[in-house]
Amino acid sequence: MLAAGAAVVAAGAGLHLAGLDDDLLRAAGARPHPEPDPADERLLSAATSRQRALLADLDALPGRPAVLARDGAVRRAVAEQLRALGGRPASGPAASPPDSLVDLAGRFAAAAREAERAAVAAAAPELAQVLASLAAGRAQVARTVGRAG
Amino acid sequence: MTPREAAGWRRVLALEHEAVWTYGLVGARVTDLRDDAREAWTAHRSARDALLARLAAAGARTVGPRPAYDVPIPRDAATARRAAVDVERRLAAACVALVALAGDDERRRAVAVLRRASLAAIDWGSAPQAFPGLDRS
Repeated sequence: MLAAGAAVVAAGAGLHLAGLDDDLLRAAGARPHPEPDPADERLLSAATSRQRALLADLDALPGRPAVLARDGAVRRAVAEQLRALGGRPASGPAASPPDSLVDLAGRFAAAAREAERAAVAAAAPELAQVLASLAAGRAQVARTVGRAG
Repeated sequence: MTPREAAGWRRVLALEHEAVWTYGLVGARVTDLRDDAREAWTAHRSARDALLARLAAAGARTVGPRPAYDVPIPRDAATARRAAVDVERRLAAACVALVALAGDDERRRAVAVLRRASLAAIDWGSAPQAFPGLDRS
């Protein structure tokens, strides 16, 4: 079993997934391997940075609407995505906070499309699965936030 | 379409058949959800027919519907919504599995179906999931 946060590589594809959650890797069928793939690492790094910004955007939403705060499901999902990608929350406030739920939903929807494109571009099948699933999760958040707006 | 891609799409097709059956059941049993169920039923019928045609055009084997599915009979809106979320989540999982098997074109299609199923799960009452279709247990 892999230690949490260990540098691991997806089987057969030369994908170095440093920091990617082990449960997530196992769900995608990955196992340790020593060969990194720079292009895939860039895709993962970009997805993690984007996820960090999305969480900061969510936390920066003025007044945190009650409909989102009520059960915490949206924030839990977004924070779990970041944690599983191996990222940590931003240390400072969002660079450009959303001004409404509609704005926030648009950011998640755009990020979902980004992750979809990354999933198609990924060389490693396991990373493609993670990014495709991440895209679907972002799209679900966008739909949930948009409905609350 | 490669044989591996065709096998992945057959799993999706089997679930499209099940979704058509499930939404027919929901529409017939729960009056309050009849319009939504009809819309979902129509969408899954279209997806099923398009997939059947694509598999056939590729010379790949297809799968047909079962006589019935192991879906609890919806007694009310809550149980109907659970049945709908369940089939959409399993569709999402089949698409995530297919992503690993597919080349660019088929992967792009699988990602699109994954998005559709994941959003349908939200529409039928699911809370957002961090990673739809990936079983992380």
